[in-house]
Amino acid sequence: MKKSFVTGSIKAIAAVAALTLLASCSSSSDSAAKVKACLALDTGGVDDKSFNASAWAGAQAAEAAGAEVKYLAATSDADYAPNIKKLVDEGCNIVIGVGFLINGAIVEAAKANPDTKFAIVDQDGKDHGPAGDQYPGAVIDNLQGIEFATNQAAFQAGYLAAGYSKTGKVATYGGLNIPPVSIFMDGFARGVAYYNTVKGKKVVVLGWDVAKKDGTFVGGFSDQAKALQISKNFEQQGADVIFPVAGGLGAATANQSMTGGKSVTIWVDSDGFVQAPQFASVLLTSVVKGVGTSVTAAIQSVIDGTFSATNYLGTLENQGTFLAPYHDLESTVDAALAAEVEQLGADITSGKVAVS
Amino acid sequence: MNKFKKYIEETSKSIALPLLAFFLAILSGGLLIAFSDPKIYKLWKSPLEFLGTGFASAGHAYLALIQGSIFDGNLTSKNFLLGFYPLSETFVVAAPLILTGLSVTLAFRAGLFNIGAQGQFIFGAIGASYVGFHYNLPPVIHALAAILGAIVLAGLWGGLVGFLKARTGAHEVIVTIMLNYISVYFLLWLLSTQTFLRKGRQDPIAPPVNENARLPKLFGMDYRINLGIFIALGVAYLIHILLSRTTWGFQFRSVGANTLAAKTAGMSVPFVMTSVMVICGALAGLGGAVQVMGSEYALTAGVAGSFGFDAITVALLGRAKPLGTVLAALLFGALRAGGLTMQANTTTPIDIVLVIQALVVLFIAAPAMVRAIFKLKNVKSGTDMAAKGWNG
Amino acid sequence: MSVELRGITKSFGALVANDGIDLRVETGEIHAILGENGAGKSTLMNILYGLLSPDSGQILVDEKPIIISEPSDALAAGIGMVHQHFMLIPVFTVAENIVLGHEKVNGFGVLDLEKARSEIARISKEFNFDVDPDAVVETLPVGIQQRVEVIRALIYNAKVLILDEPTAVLTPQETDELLQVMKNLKKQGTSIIFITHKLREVQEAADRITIIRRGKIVGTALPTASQEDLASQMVGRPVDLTMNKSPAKIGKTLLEISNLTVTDSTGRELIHDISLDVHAGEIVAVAGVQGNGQTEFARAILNLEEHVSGSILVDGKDILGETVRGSLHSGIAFIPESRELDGLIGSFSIAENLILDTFDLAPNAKGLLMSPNTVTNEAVKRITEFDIRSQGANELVSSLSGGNKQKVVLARELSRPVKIVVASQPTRGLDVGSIEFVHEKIVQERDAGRAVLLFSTELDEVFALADRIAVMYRGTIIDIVPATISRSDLGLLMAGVKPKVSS
Repeated sequence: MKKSFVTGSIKAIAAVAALTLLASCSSSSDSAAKVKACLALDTGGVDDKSFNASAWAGAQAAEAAGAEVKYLAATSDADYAPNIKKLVDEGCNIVIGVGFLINGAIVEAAKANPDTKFAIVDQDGKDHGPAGDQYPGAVIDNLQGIEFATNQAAFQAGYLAAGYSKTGKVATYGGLNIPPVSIFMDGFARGVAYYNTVKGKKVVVLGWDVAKKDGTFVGGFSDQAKALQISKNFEQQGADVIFPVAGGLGAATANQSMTGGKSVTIWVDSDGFVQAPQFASVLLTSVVKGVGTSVTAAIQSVIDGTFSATNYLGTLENQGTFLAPYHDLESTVDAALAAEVEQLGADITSGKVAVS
Repeated sequence: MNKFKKYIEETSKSIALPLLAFFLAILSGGLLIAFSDPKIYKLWKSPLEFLGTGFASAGHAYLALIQGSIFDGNLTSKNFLLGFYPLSETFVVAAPLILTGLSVTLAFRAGLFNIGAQGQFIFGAIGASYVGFHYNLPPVIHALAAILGAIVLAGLWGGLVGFLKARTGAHEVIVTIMLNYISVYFLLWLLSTQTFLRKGRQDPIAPPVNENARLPKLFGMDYRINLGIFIALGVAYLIHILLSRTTWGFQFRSVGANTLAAKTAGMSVPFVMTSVMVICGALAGLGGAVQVMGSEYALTAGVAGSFGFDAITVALLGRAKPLGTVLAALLFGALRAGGLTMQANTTTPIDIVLVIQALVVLFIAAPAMVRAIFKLKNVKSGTDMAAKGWNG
Repeated sequence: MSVELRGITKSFGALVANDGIDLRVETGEIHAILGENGAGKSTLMNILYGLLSPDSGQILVDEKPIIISEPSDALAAGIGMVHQHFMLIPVFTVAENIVLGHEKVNGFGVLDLEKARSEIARISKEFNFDVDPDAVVETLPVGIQQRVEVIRALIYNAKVLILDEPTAVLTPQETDELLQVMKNLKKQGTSIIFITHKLREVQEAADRITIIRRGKIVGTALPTASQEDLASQMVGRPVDLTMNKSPAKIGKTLLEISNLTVTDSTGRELIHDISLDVHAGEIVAVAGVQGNGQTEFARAILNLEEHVSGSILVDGKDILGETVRGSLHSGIAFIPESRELDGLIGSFSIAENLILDTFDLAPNAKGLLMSPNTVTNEAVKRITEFDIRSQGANELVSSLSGGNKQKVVLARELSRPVKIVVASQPTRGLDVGSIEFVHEKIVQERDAGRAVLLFSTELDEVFALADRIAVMYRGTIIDIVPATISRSDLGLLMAGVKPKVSS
């Protein structure tokens, strides 16, 4: 009885194994000359409607230019290094790390695999030594950092919000007080200040103090309830434009805008009108971080053979960051204000207006 | 004759059950894989192709699972031994899991449900990280110091639970759940302080631990496998000895099996609860140390992943025995390492990979369900009933 | 109505609980089924009441075979059962409890209790039950609650009533009243199947006696049979029921308890101002109906209770406030009230259970490391010495019979150097053979010059062992009397002196 169970099961397993071997032979091939571009995503997953999604969209855009693309998502911080190794072993020509937490693993991998090209989104991509304290870091020849001057577009958004506000109060909050987040908030607040200077108004910014470099934070990127509470508080204090810089948590604010009807939301990272169309009626605009554009550009540089370790900086000029169209709320934005915001963009690019 | 029959019945049960569970998990997982492949929905009309594709994607996925956890022929081009890289990855994942699993197991044996391995892991990681980057000590000594830092910090954190339970009767489940929250947010805050901020970075990542404080790699730089796995196995053996051979372990088990009887026999229940939780905390904390010193080299907000929570499953799966915990952690490690490859080599989304892992555990952990599905006769339940009903 | 069981066989796995049992109960007969714990009595009755289904065999009611597959079939056939543990909802009234499961509503959709009330009154009067239909069950004494169960059976026309160990929870007076009730029921033509292992009750009430041992009927007897005869049939070997003990040789006071008061955490007094001396070489029995503070008293001596005042002198040294361990090692052997709950660890082996309170002392341990070989060797010795029937020192205690479990407790406690033995209900739930063994051991301890404090709710046990009797009632000792007191006087004391009023 015992024996028959065991042998029976072994037979079954053997059969499955045989099948799997057969199956594995049939697939995999035809990647001869194409550039293989691979993304190592963080724990947000490819459907995060934000960072990872934008990066993947950018990679898919590069497909048209003749690249073969794929991604690996992580389930925890511990997955970053193994995922990157898998992509390298698989023969990816360029491995792009998406998210600052992947930086360490990307730097290590870049040093260990000089034949593979790497890029890291939102980090400088330099080797800061074993203790991580050498600045500026050493250039790694096969690693390109991708950074964004999102404060440029955020500056525009601040100006727009100040001009749009009826109550004279606008607000912003972040997920965590870390540079990729606070740079938006800082730009936004400075944009409001610039509006006040130009127009002689006193529009107040809630949630960010430029001098103290501190403000209102959720403490993470997943607590919807807290984000909603923060949004409600801002509304109660009279803010009628809210700019959440907390990835997917923007949904909580947009929700409050819709149910409360007292505010509009400025989306972050991607064009909210496209990513979260259910909130179309309350989205004034979006401060887009051109993650997708940058990823496309990095892959394109490998295809063209122009890849270099020189960092990519996303600006208004190269569309690495920009203010999204007003979409459904276009009619509510004063034409003169819209024109001023547009001109402001040109002034920032030309250096006439300083954003930091 | 009767004895022989019983022996056969029992052995066949003990061997058949896990095998059947595994078979069920493979089967239902295979269905999931097949149906998560968008290709298959276009093939409704041709049943043969439909089945073939389904089988192929399931088979491909399972092959990837093995390639990611045990051996991958594709990696042998440079060096045959490199084919075992996946196995080394399994050990890398398993090492901290064994330790957190032991933490939960030991608590179980003393009648406590330690949900707090996650928080204790975090405190261990904090301790190891701080000692690891803040001091400059000679090799070996630095690593030992970092481990000590982890054990002390996490031991105190765990001991707090036992102390509160012993002193005030506060239920350890509630306390540990709350302490988990505190640990997570404390870590977030800590990572924003100047001490823990890596120079030039402002995102939540601590400076890397010194080279001297890192656990040595076992097979060179090509593999991530490090001393951690041996630490974990050694500690598992120590816990086995603690439970089976020492007076402390005897008290732990007594309190766990029957608190009233232990108390009546003069054992100090508060002492047992506090000391058990100190050790549990230290175990989970050691897991954090192994993770930080062995593979991650830096403290991050997500350093604990789900090690502390998976530990509960691992301990349950291991039937709260040290050896069982080790085996369960290895299975978990294999599933996690293989899961990443499954995602990499097939079109199976990572979420489905996680679902399959959960299914395997579910089927193995729920023998009653497997028995019901296969209509196996349960030898034991008969005697159970007799013991209850045969009382007149 | 007559009931007949033919060839009933029921097995659980390898255990044959009932093996071809034939039993016939005549109309208007009190038929006692006598057997030790585990003999198969309850299994048989559960089959008759439809809670279990037999592997083979037949049930006939008034000579007609019927199928009983669930309790409602049994009720429909006129068979009712009163379980050892009452199936009553404490916060409901008697009438509500009785209509439970058979609720009728009036035209307004409101529960109609009138009919039930009048029925209860009628039955109560007919059998002299004295039960108020509107009393809330939890306020009633246990004996009356039991009658509610009986009424419930009768109201649904039970002609055969199964009483499963009905006297286990009763005071001696209540027991006598129950036996009277049974006789009244019999007069009205109700047949009663009376399950018990108490010989005195069987002799007093039964018309016929069937004795079951190991799932088989081993004999029938008439109530005129001697107790020794019944007991030996039950156990399967000759049994000596009289405890041959020599007169006590009283020595010095070893246990001196003064003004002991125990409260719960809210300050409510559980036991009040108890003073009691126990001398070397004597057995003092604390008698009383269950739940009058005996549990707390016994535990307080071991410092297992938290809020205690007074003093406990062990050979002159006050141990109040000591740790439990300190109390045990001051020279007290403690046989706790419940083997399963606080006496033993079921999932541990016999050997491990034998060292629960000496696990860290030589020779069981050297420093932190235990010495498993020594522990096992010692256990083997104890197993022989205390005649623990087992498959060896490593057998789990949970698989032992009640008697052997208790022997493990005795072996553990009496193998330590002790001066005092505190034994709480040491024979509760044990079979005759094991009771004999435990009693012998207790007397041996006395004769070896130890002071024995015995807590017992069994009058037979108290009379068999005690040299002096302290009677506990509502948390105090209301009297300390010599063992020569009459059974009825002791019964009255246990009820709080006041003669039981049937209001």
